[in-house]
Amino acid sequence: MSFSPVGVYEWTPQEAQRHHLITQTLSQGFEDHGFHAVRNPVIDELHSLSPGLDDSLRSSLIYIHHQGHTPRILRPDHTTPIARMVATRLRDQLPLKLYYMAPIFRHPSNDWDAIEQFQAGCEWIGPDDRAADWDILHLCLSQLHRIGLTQLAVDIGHVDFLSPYSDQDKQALLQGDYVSLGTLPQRGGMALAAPIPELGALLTQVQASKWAPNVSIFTGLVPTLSYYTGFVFSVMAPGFRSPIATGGRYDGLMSRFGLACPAVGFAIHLNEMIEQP
Amino acid sequence: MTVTIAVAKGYLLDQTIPIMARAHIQFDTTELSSRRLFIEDQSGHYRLLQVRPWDVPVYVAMGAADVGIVGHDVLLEHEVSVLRLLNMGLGACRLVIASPMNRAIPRLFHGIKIATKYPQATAHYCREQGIKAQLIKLYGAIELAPLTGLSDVISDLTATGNTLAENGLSIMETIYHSTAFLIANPTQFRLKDAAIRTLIGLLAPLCPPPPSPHDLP
Repeated sequence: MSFSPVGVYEWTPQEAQRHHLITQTLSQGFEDHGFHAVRNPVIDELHSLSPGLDDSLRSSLIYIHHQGHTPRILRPDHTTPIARMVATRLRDQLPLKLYYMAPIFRHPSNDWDAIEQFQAGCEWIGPDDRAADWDILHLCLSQLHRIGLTQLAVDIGHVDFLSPYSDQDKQALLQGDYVSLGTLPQRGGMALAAPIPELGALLTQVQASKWAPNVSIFTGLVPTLSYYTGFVFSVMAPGFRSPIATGGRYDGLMSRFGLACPAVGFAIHLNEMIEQP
Repeated sequence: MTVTIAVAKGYLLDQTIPIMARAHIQFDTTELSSRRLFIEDQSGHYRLLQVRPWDVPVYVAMGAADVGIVGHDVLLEHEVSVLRLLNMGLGACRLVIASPMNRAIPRLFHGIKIATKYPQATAHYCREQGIKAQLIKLYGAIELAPLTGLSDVISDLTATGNTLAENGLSIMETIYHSTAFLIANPTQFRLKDAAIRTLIGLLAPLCPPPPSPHDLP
């Protein structure tokens, strides 16, 4: 007998239906909040996306063999090609609220992770006012709620949580090696957020919302990609081994494609939700 | 809230159980020695999974266990995304390259054949030393390899050096020192933050300080 490969997905009608229900609900939710669907190429060119690709992403790229001279890759994320699209074709239409709902492809770092990773995400390009930080976090949590995920546990971190550390300790923190770091990052509330005024302001908004009990500040949550410039967040839930959504502010990405411009966004990671019986 | 702990069977489990007992995490000794795959402590706050050392990071990374206790050597060889919370100082040992005493191999050389259970760390070390080595992955009785001509030298863990000496092997170089680490699944560390920090608070004062390299054989 011959099966479809492990790490990619084929769906029977029943499985396709489950995926369709989730994505339809999310699309509707994103559109209700003024976001517009975009599409990125599945196959891309390395040199074209290169400005936005950090080493961590580069090491998981999937290359396609072909005759030409330009290395081609399967799209490893959505945020980078969206940044390119905005910088090249939409720069006179800012601010933009864009969303996508399609898989990305990466070499898995563990045997059990998939190559094909379904994502639904929003990118809000243009707003530099920090109110957008709360709006995007709130949108993410409320959409997760709409697809039936109610027991959310949210960590909020910040790029500035890295700043007290040496390069070596930064690496330890990013890798979750708290033994080498010599200290256990803290979870808490305003006492941890307050030293970073914009984070304090964000937490104030969180605490005035119904999400207050779900959210904590975690000094161990720092961005793994270098274009993140502000807050980052990670949403977890019982029964899921990996975060079900991640996001944050990435004012450093657009300029790599020639358009200096703030941005904030998130991605919902759908694989584990689709796999659940 | 129950915290599930995967512990590497063998000497690490044997050293961990008394420390847990002193922290008032009591497991029934007859249950421990039975073939039951998981057991609960008397308080019901902790559940213990006795698994193979190499399986501990997998259980934790997949979230089947919230935390794990496993040698740093295993984590260095088998990179998975887990949090390293505490150096427990237990099970101190080092990964060494050892050669037969009756064959004078003063140093690593190009093309040297090294039998090991630890090909990743050994290959990494050789690259750093500028040596192209041929790694031969074995699953046990590593000491036999150079004695039978399977390899020139071995790379293996040693605590006292006794087993190496008994097999006519002497230590050439140390690749790294290792002790047992408490590791956690990142999601479980969020969902059970207080319970896992409580566990760290109970265990940390009872763990021996990690030995300094000078104290090791």
